[in-house]
Amino acid sequence: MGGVFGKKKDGDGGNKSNHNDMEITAHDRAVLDLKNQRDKLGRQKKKMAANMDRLQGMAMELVRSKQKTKALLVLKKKKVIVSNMEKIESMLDNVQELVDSLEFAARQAEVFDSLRTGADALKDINAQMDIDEVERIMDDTQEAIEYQNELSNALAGILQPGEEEDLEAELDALILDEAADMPSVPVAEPGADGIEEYSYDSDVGVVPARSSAARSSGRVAMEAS
Amino acid sequence: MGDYEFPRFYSFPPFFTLQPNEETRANQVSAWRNFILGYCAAHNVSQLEIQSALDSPLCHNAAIDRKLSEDALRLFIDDLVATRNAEWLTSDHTTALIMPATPDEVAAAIYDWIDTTGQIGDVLTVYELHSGDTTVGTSFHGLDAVLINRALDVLASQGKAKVFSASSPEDAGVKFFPA
Repeated sequence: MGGVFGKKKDGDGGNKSNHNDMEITAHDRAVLDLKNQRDKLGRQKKKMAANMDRLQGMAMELVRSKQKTKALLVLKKKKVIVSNMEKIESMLDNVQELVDSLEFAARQAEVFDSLRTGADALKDINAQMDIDEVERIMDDTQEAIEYQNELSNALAGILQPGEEEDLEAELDALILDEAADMPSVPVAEPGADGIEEYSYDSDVGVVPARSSAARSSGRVAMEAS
Repeated sequence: MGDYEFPRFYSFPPFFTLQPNEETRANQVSAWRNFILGYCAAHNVSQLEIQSALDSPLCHNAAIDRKLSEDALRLFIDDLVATRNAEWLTSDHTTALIMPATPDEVAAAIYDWIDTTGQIGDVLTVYELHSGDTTVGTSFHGLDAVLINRALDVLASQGKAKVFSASSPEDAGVKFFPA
Protein backbone atom coordinates (compact mmCIF):
# COMPACT_ATOMS: atom_id res chain seq x y z
CA MET A 1 0.00 0.00 0.00
CA GLY A 2 2.79 2.37 0.90
CA GLY A 3 4.20 1.92 -2.57
CA VAL A 4 1.16 3.53 -4.11
CA PHE A 5 1.86 6.79 -2.34
CA GLY A 6 5.62 6.50 -2.26
CA LYS A 7 5.85 6.23 -6.01
CA LYS A 8 4.10 9.53 -6.61
CA LYS A 9 6.30 11.27 -4.08
CA ASP A 10 9.47 10.09 -5.79
CA GLY A 11 8.42 11.63 -9.05
CA ASP A 12 7.29 14.85 -7.44
CA GLY A 13 9.81 15.85 -4.83
CA GLY A 14 13.49 16.47 -5.21
CA ASN A 15 15.40 15.94 -8.44
CA LYS A 16 15.50 19.66 -9.15
CA SER A 17 18.15 19.18 -11.74
CA ASN A 18 16.09 16.49 -13.41
CA HIS A 19 15.23 17.59 -16.90
CA ASN A 20 11.84 15.96 -16.79
CA ASP A 21 10.91 18.21 -13.91
CA MET A 22 12.12 21.34 -15.64
CA GLU A 23 10.35 20.70 -18.85
CA ILE A 24 9.15 23.55 -21.01
CA THR A 25 5.84 22.51 -22.49
CA ALA A 26 4.03 23.75 -25.56
CA HIS A 27 1.73 25.50 -23.15
CA ASP A 28 4.68 27.40 -21.68
CA ARG A 29 5.75 28.52 -25.12
CA ALA A 30 2.24 29.66 -25.93
CA VAL A 31 2.14 31.70 -22.73
CA LEU A 32 5.53 33.17 -23.49
CA ASP A 33 4.44 34.15 -26.99
CA LEU A 34 1.40 35.89 -25.62
CA LYS A 35 3.37 37.62 -22.90
CA ASN A 36 5.92 38.78 -25.45
CA GLN A 37 3.08 40.25 -27.47
CA ARG A 38 1.80 41.91 -24.34
CA ASP A 39 5.24 43.38 -23.66
CA LYS A 40 5.50 44.66 -27.21
CA LEU A 41 2.06 46.24 -27.04
CA GLY A 42 3.03 47.77 -23.71
CA ARG A 43 6.17 49.23 -25.23
CA GLN A 44 4.21 50.55 -28.19
CA LYS A 45 1.75 52.13 -25.82
CA LYS A 46 4.56 53.87 -23.98
CA LYS A 47 5.98 55.10 -27.25
CA MET A 48 2.60 56.44 -28.33
CA ALA A 49 2.06 58.13 -25.02
CA ALA A 50 5.40 59.90 -25.41
CA ASN A 51 4.49 60.84 -28.98
CA MET A 52 1.18 62.19 -27.79
CA ASP A 53 2.84 64.33 -25.17
CA ARG A 54 5.24 65.64 -27.77
CA LEU A 55 2.41 66.54 -30.17
CA GLN A 56 0.45 68.14 -27.36
CA GLY A 57 3.43 70.32 -26.53
CA MET A 58 3.92 71.13 -30.20
CA ALA A 59 0.29 72.15 -30.60
CA MET A 60 0.51 74.40 -27.59
CA GLU A 61 3.65 75.94 -28.95
CA LEU A 62 1.97 76.59 -32.35
CA VAL A 63 -1.10 78.09 -30.70
CA ARG A 64 1.17 80.42 -28.77
CA SER A 65 2.90 81.50 -31.99
CA LYS A 66 -0.54 81.93 -33.62
CA GLN A 67 -0.03 79.21 -36.24
CA LYS A 68 -3.56 77.94 -36.00
CA THR A 69 -3.67 75.74 -39.12
CA LYS A 70 -0.46 73.98 -38.20
CA ALA A 71 -1.71 73.50 -34.67
CA LEU A 72 -4.89 71.93 -36.04
CA LEU A 73 -2.82 69.56 -38.16
CA VAL A 74 -0.81 68.52 -35.15
CA LEU A 75 -3.98 67.98 -33.14
CA LYS A 76 -5.31 65.81 -35.95
CA LYS A 77 -2.18 63.67 -35.78
CA LYS A 78 -2.63 63.43 -32.06
CA LYS A 79 -6.18 62.27 -32.50
CA VAL A 80 -5.06 59.43 -34.77
CA ILE A 81 -2.57 58.37 -32.14
CA VAL A 82 -5.21 58.50 -29.41
CA SER A 83 -7.53 56.24 -31.39
CA ASN A 84 -4.67 53.85 -32.13
CA MET A 85 -3.79 53.82 -28.49
CA GLU A 86 -7.31 52.85 -27.60
CA LYS A 87 -7.08 49.96 -30.03
CA ILE A 88 -3.80 48.87 -28.53
CA GLU A 89 -5.27 49.08 -25.09
CA SER A 90 -8.14 46.77 -26.01
CA MET A 91 -5.70 44.38 -27.68
CA LEU A 92 -3.62 44.46 -24.53
CA ASP A 93 -6.69 43.60 -22.50
CA ASN A 94 -7.48 40.70 -24.82
CA VAL A 95 -3.96 39.34 -24.64
CA GLN A 96 -3.86 39.65 -20.88
CA GLU A 97 -7.21 37.92 -20.62
CA LEU A 98 -6.01 35.07 -22.79
CA VAL A 99 -2.82 34.75 -20.74
CA ASP A 100 -4.87 34.61 -17.56
CA SER A 101 -7.26 32.00 -18.89
CA LEU A 102 -4.37 29.94 -20.27
CA GLU A 103 -2.68 29.92 -16.90
CA PHE A 104 -5.94 29.11 -15.20
CA ALA A 105 -6.65 26.27 -17.62
CA ALA A 106 -3.19 24.86 -16.95
CA ARG A 107 -3.88 24.94 -13.23
CA GLN A 108 -7.19 23.19 -13.82
CA ALA A 109 -5.50 20.52 -15.89
CA GLU A 110 -3.02 20.00 -13.05
CA VAL A 111 -5.82 19.61 -10.53
CA PHE A 112 -7.61 17.20 -12.84
CA ASP A 113 -4.42 15.22 -13.19
CA SER A 114 -3.93 15.00 -9.44
CA LEU A 115 -7.54 13.97 -8.98
CA ARG A 116 -7.11 11.21 -11.51
CA THR A 117 -3.92 10.01 -9.87
CA GLY A 118 -5.67 10.04 -6.52
CA ALA A 119 -8.66 8.14 -7.86
CA ASP A 120 -6.37 5.55 -9.46
CA ALA A 121 -4.50 5.13 -6.21
CA LEU A 122 -7.77 4.65 -4.38
CA LYS A 123 -8.90 2.09 -6.92
CA ASP A 124 -5.59 0.24 -6.54
CA ILE A 125 -6.00 0.09 -2.82
CA ASN A 126 -9.61 -1.03 -3.07
CA ALA A 127 -8.66 -3.70 -5.57
CA GLN A 128 -6.38 -5.19 -2.95
CA MET A 129 -9.36 -5.58 -0.64
CA ASP A 130 -11.82 -8.13 -2.12
CA ILE A 131 -15.22 -7.79 -0.46
CA ASP A 132 -15.60 -11.57 0.14
CA GLU A 133 -12.15 -11.62 1.60
CA VAL A 134 -13.04 -8.71 3.86
CA GLU A 135 -16.21 -10.50 5.01
CA ARG A 136 -14.26 -13.64 5.71
CA ILE A 137 -11.70 -11.69 7.67
CA MET A 138 -14.44 -9.91 9.57
CA ASP A 139 -16.09 -13.24 10.40
CA ASP A 140 -12.79 -14.66 11.51
CA THR A 141 -12.22 -11.63 13.60
CA GLN A 142 -15.67 -11.93 15.17
CA GLU A 143 -15.03 -15.56 16.01
CA ALA A 144 -11.69 -14.73 17.46
CA ILE A 145 -13.25 -11.98 19.54
CA GLU A 146 -15.90 -14.34 20.85
CA TYR A 147 -13.34 -16.96 21.70
CA GLN A 148 -11.29 -14.33 23.44
CA ASN A 149 -14.31 -13.24 25.47
CA GLU A 150 -15.00 -16.83 26.48
CA LEU A 151 -11.40 -17.24 27.48
CA SER A 152 -11.30 -14.16 29.58
CA ASN A 153 -14.64 -14.97 31.19
CA ALA A 154 -13.40 -18.38 32.10
CA LEU A 155 -10.26 -16.89 33.55
CA ALA A 156 -12.20 -14.30 35.50
CA GLY A 157 -14.72 -16.94 36.71
CA ILE A 158 -17.72 -15.26 35.23
CA LEU A 159 -20.36 -17.65 33.96
CA GLN A 160 -22.48 -17.37 30.93
CA PRO A 161 -26.12 -16.48 31.66
CA GLY A 162 -27.38 -19.83 30.40
CA GLU A 163 -24.78 -21.70 32.33
CA GLU A 164 -25.77 -19.92 35.50
CA GLU A 165 -29.39 -21.03 35.11
CA ASP A 166 -28.26 -24.58 34.56
CA LEU A 167 -26.23 -24.47 37.70
CA GLU A 168 -29.08 -23.02 39.70
CA ALA A 169 -31.41 -25.76 38.52
CA GLU A 170 -28.83 -28.34 39.51
CA LEU A 171 -28.57 -26.78 42.93
CA ASP A 172 -32.38 -26.89 43.40
CA ALA A 173 -32.44 -30.56 42.44
CA LEU A 174 -29.75 -31.34 44.98
CA ILE A 175 -31.66 -29.55 47.71
CA LEU A 176 -34.83 -31.57 46.91
CA ASP A 177 -32.95 -34.86 47.04
CA GLU A 178 -31.50 -34.01 50.40
CA ALA A 179 -34.91 -33.12 51.81
CA ALA A 180 -36.39 -36.51 50.78
CA ASP A 181 -33.77 -38.47 52.75
CA MET A 182 -34.24 -36.63 56.02
CA PRO A 183 -37.02 -36.86 58.71
CA SER A 184 -39.45 -34.14 58.73
CA VAL A 185 -38.32 -31.20 60.64
CA PRO A 186 -40.21 -30.63 63.91
CA VAL A 187 -42.37 -27.72 63.66
CA ALA A 188 -42.86 -26.74 67.31
CA GLU A 189 -40.38 -25.94 69.99
CA PRO A 190 -39.59 -28.60 72.53
CA GLY A 191 -41.35 -28.20 75.92
CA ALA A 192 -44.02 -25.93 74.70
CA ASP A 193 -47.66 -26.50 75.42
CA GLY A 194 -49.29 -29.64 73.92
CA ILE A 195 -45.99 -31.13 73.09
CA GLU A 196 -44.98 -34.47 74.36
CA GLU A 197 -41.78 -34.98 76.11
CA TYR A 198 -40.47 -38.45 76.06
CA SER A 199 -38.78 -40.26 78.90
CA TYR A 200 -37.59 -43.76 79.12
CA ASP A 201 -38.85 -46.39 81.55
CA SER A 202 -37.55 -49.93 81.48
CA ASP A 203 -40.93 -51.58 82.03
CA VAL A 204 -43.19 -49.44 80.13
CA GLY A 205 -40.81 -48.28 77.45
CA VAL A 206 -41.03 -44.94 76.23
CA VAL A 207 -43.71 -43.05 77.95
CA PRO A 208 -44.81 -39.63 77.44
CA ALA A 209 -43.97 -37.57 80.44
CA ARG A 210 -47.20 -35.75 81.08
CA SER A 211 -46.09 -33.69 83.98
CA SER A 212 -43.68 -33.91 86.84
CA ALA A 213 -46.56 -34.67 89.23
CA ALA A 214 -47.89 -37.55 87.19
CA ARG A 215 -44.49 -38.95 86.84
CA SER A 216 -43.86 -39.03 90.58
CA SER A 217 -47.31 -40.55 91.33
CA GLY A 218 -46.66 -43.25 88.78
CA ARG A 219 -43.43 -44.10 90.37
CA VAL A 220 -45.15 -44.32 93.73
CA ALA A 221 -47.73 -46.69 92.31
CA MET A 222 -45.13 -48.95 90.92
CA GLU A 223 -43.30 -49.09 94.16
CA ALA A 224 -46.51 -50.07 95.92
CA SER A 225 -47.31 -52.98 93.70
CA MET B 1 21.21 62.65 -11.14
CA GLY B 2 22.17 65.94 -9.59
CA ASP B 3 21.75 64.72 -6.05
CA TYR B 4 24.69 62.33 -6.19
CA GLU B 5 27.30 63.32 -3.68
CA PHE B 6 30.86 62.46 -4.60
CA PRO B 7 32.89 60.87 -1.85
CA ARG B 8 35.36 63.15 -0.10
CA PHE B 9 38.39 61.41 -1.58
CA TYR B 10 37.10 62.37 -5.04
CA SER B 11 38.66 65.77 -4.43
CA PHE B 12 41.89 64.20 -3.23
CA PRO B 13 44.41 64.32 -6.13
CA PRO B 14 46.35 61.10 -5.27
CA PHE B 15 43.07 59.22 -5.59
CA PHE B 16 43.45 59.47 -9.36
CA THR B 17 46.99 58.12 -9.49
CA LEU B 18 47.77 54.46 -8.96
CA GLN B 19 49.58 54.14 -5.67
CA PRO B 20 52.89 52.27 -5.69
CA ASN B 21 52.76 51.24 -2.02
CA GLU B 22 51.00 47.89 -1.79
CA GLU B 23 48.93 48.71 1.28
CA THR B 24 47.91 52.12 0.01
CA ARG B 25 47.07 50.58 -3.34
CA ALA B 26 44.76 48.07 -1.68
CA ASN B 27 42.94 50.88 0.12
CA GLN B 28 42.71 52.83 -3.13
CA VAL B 29 41.30 49.85 -5.03
CA SER B 30 38.65 49.21 -2.41
CA ALA B 31 37.74 52.92 -2.35
CA TRP B 32 37.35 52.92 -6.12
CA ARG B 33 35.33 49.70 -5.99
CA ASN B 34 32.69 51.33 -3.80
CA PHE B 35 32.90 54.61 -5.71
CA ILE B 36 32.31 53.01 -9.12
CA LEU B 37 29.42 50.90 -7.83
CA GLY B 38 27.83 53.85 -6.03
CA TYR B 39 28.32 56.18 -8.97
CA CYS B 40 26.88 53.71 -11.48
CA ALA B 41 23.92 52.91 -9.24
CA ALA B 42 23.16 56.61 -8.73
CA HIS B 43 23.53 57.47 -12.40
CA ASN B 44 21.75 54.39 -13.68
CA VAL B 45 24.83 53.29 -15.53
CA SER B 46 25.01 49.57 -16.07
CA GLN B 47 27.25 49.26 -19.09
CA LEU B 48 30.45 51.17 -18.73
CA GLU B 49 32.38 51.93 -21.86
CA ILE B 50 36.02 52.54 -20.99
CA GLN B 51 36.76 55.46 -23.28
CA SER B 52 33.63 57.44 -22.50
CA ALA B 53 33.99 56.62 -18.81
CA LEU B 54 37.46 58.15 -18.78
CA ASP B 55 35.97 61.46 -19.95
CA SER B 56 32.97 61.30 -17.63
CA PRO B 57 32.96 62.82 -14.13
CA LEU B 58 33.58 59.29 -12.85
CA CYS B 59 37.21 59.39 -13.92
CA HIS B 60 37.69 63.05 -14.54
CA ASN B 61 37.50 65.59 -11.76
CA ALA B 62 37.71 68.90 -13.60
CA ALA B 63 37.68 70.87 -10.35
CA ILE B 64 41.09 69.57 -9.30
CA ASP B 65 42.17 68.83 -12.87
CA ARG B 66 42.82 65.15 -12.27
CA LYS B 67 42.03 62.31 -14.60
CA LEU B 68 42.28 58.57 -14.10
CA SER B 69 44.49 56.69 -16.53
CA GLU B 70 43.02 53.94 -18.66
CA ASP B 71 45.28 51.35 -17.05
CA ALA B 72 44.10 52.34 -13.61
CA LEU B 73 40.43 52.16 -14.60
CA ARG B 74 40.98 48.72 -16.11
CA LEU B 75 42.66 47.61 -12.91
CA PHE B 76 39.71 48.81 -10.84
CA ILE B 77 37.21 47.13 -13.14
CA ASP B 78 39.21 43.91 -13.03
CA ASP B 79 38.92 44.14 -9.27
CA LEU B 80 35.12 44.48 -9.65
CA VAL B 81 35.11 41.48 -11.94
CA ALA B 82 36.90 39.56 -9.20
CA THR B 83 34.19 40.46 -6.68
CA ARG B 84 31.47 39.47 -9.20
CA ASN B 85 30.32 43.09 -9.36
CA ALA B 86 31.39 43.53 -12.97
CA GLU B 87 31.77 41.56 -16.13
CA TRP B 88 33.57 42.37 -19.36
CA LEU B 89 30.95 42.32 -22.08
CA THR B 90 33.34 42.46 -25.01
CA SER B 91 36.30 40.24 -25.65
CA ASP B 92 38.58 43.26 -26.16
CA HIS B 93 37.57 44.60 -22.73
CA THR B 94 36.14 47.91 -23.91
CA THR B 95 32.77 47.67 -22.18
CA ALA B 96 32.00 46.31 -18.76
CA LEU B 97 28.73 45.47 -17.12
CA ILE B 98 28.67 47.05 -13.69
CA MET B 99 26.58 45.23 -11.15
CA PRO B 100 26.10 46.98 -7.80
CA ALA B 101 24.11 43.88 -6.85
CA THR B 102 25.86 40.65 -7.83
CA PRO B 103 23.97 38.14 -9.99
CA ASP B 104 23.58 35.95 -6.90
CA GLU B 105 21.89 38.76 -5.01
CA VAL B 106 19.65 39.65 -7.94
CA ALA B 107 18.78 35.98 -8.40
CA ALA B 108 17.76 35.71 -4.75
CA ALA B 109 15.66 38.88 -5.03
CA ILE B 110 13.90 37.66 -8.19
CA TYR B 111 13.15 34.23 -6.80
CA ASP B 112 11.94 35.70 -3.54
CA TRP B 113 9.56 37.99 -5.44
CA ILE B 114 8.33 35.12 -7.62
CA ASP B 115 7.76 33.02 -4.54
CA THR B 116 5.92 35.64 -2.49
CA THR B 117 3.73 36.65 -5.42
CA GLY B 118 2.77 33.02 -6.12
CA GLN B 119 4.26 32.87 -9.58
CA ILE B 120 6.19 29.63 -9.22
CA GLY B 121 5.34 27.45 -12.18
CA ASP B 122 4.48 30.49 -14.28
CA VAL B 123 6.16 31.74 -17.41
CA LEU B 124 7.43 35.31 -17.44
CA THR B 125 9.22 37.30 -20.08
CA VAL B 126 12.68 38.55 -19.25
CA TYR B 127 11.46 41.97 -20.28
CA GLU B 128 8.71 42.05 -17.71
CA LEU B 129 11.21 41.21 -14.96
CA HIS B 130 13.23 44.38 -15.52
CA SER B 131 10.67 46.66 -17.17
CA GLY B 132 7.25 45.23 -16.43
CA ASP B 133 4.54 47.07 -14.55
CA THR B 134 4.36 44.31 -11.95
CA THR B 135 8.00 44.55 -10.89
CA VAL B 136 7.93 48.29 -10.16
CA GLY B 137 9.30 48.78 -6.68
CA THR B 138 11.39 45.60 -6.63
CA SER B 139 15.15 45.82 -6.35
CA PHE B 140 15.65 44.31 -9.80
CA HIS B 141 13.26 46.59 -11.67
CA GLY B 142 15.19 48.70 -14.14
CA LEU B 143 18.32 46.57 -14.00
CA ASP B 144 20.23 45.84 -17.16
CA ALA B 145 18.80 42.94 -19.15
CA VAL B 146 22.26 41.33 -19.22
CA LEU B 147 22.40 41.34 -15.44
CA ILE B 148 18.89 39.89 -15.24
CA ASN B 149 20.01 37.13 -17.57
CA ARG B 150 23.05 36.45 -15.39
CA ALA B 151 20.77 36.18 -12.37
CA LEU B 152 18.49 33.81 -14.26
CA ASP B 153 21.55 31.72 -15.13
CA VAL B 154 22.25 31.47 -11.42
CA LEU B 155 18.67 30.34 -10.77
CA ALA B 156 18.90 27.87 -13.65
CA SER B 157 22.03 26.34 -12.14
CA GLN B 158 20.11 25.95 -8.88
CA GLY B 159 17.25 24.25 -10.72
CA LYS B 160 14.86 27.04 -9.83
CA ALA B 161 14.29 28.46 -13.30
CA LYS B 162 14.70 27.70 -16.94
CA VAL B 163 15.23 30.26 -19.66
CA PHE B 164 13.75 29.47 -23.04
CA SER B 165 12.45 31.20 -26.09
CA ALA B 166 9.36 30.63 -28.15
CA SER B 167 8.97 31.91 -31.69
CA SER B 168 11.75 34.46 -31.73
CA PRO B 169 15.00 33.84 -29.89
CA GLU B 170 15.40 37.46 -28.77
CA ASP B 171 12.16 37.33 -26.81
CA ALA B 172 13.37 35.05 -24.09
CA GLY B 173 11.15 33.90 -21.31
CA VAL B 174 11.71 32.14 -18.06
CA LYS B 175 9.76 29.54 -16.17
CA PHE B 176 10.15 29.23 -12.43
CA PHE B 177 10.20 25.96 -10.53
CA PRO B 178 9.70 25.15 -6.88
CA ALA B 179 12.91 25.13 -4.89
